[in-house]
Amino acid sequence: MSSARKIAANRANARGSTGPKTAPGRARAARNALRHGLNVPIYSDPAITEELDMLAREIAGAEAHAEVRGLARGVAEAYFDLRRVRLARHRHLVDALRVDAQTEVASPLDIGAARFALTASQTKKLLAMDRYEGGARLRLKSAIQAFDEARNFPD
Amino acid sequence: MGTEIASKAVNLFGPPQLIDGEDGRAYEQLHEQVRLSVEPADIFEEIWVRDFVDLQWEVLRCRRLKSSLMAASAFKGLQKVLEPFSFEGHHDLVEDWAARKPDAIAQVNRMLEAAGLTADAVMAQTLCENLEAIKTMETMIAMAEHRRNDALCQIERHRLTLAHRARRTIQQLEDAEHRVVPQSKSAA
Repeated sequence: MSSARKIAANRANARGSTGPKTAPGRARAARNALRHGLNVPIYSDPAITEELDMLAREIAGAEAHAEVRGLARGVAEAYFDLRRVRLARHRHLVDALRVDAQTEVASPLDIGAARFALTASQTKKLLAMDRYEGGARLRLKSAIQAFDEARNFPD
Repeated sequence: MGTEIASKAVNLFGPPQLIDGEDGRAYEQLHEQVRLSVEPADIFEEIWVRDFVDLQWEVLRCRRLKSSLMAASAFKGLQKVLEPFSFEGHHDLVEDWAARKPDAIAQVNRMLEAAGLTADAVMAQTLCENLEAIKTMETMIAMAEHRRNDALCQIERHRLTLAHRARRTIQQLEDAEHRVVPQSKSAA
């Protein structure tokens, strides 16, 4: 367990870490969410609204009251969020494993190996997406636990 | 869970994410086998079962990619092993060996044997050549395995909650049946 001094130091340091301070840094950080769209709330995607509603109804059940319906909606959103991250990671993996005319190889024999190897930048992106997936899974777990608790202790 | 809800769940979870060369039927078979053994009782368990299957598929994919990478780049390992011999036609021999030409394979085997080496030496050099890529794949496998196991923990946790809820319901039913029996005068 952390000591009070350590906690205070961590908090003080965290207050100092408020992201980029320069104008170019702030502009770059502002574009982070637009690179892959994974930070955009899932409910703002009109393409999946119908599916999301269907899953939320399936989770809540027919006679659920407002609170349970709200929690069910939270589970459905968290699930679709996880699905979106997985899909983005999958697309990235498919692109990374594609060998085409642009693939740089030293000899024709290398084409076979290039089909299964990932470059350093591809690896970095995949591992970054793994972090998004970890966050999305955590949100799904929390949403399901909240739903279970509300169903278990309705008061 | 009934077949109707199960098929609804499968539709809600979207199609499996496969890469070139993967067999969709094998994925469905794995999903069905896991569903049969876990017997998901509600939509949450269906979610975690699907998660488990996706992650197990990913583990198998990464392991397959890893061994394919080793096989496809074994020629690099052979090049390294043959470097000290450096003779005329060294590159042609490696190319023919990679193309699995019997004469080339026999010649390489003779050379390795004469040097007191085995095919392990070639695979060891191949591993060195691909160490970074293999490390990445191992990390991806470890992450997927960890999440896959966590999916099972989530099913266990959810079942405990369901069991707790069932126990509470039974207790409420039993409490409702208990009545205070009025005592007779003789007993008093």
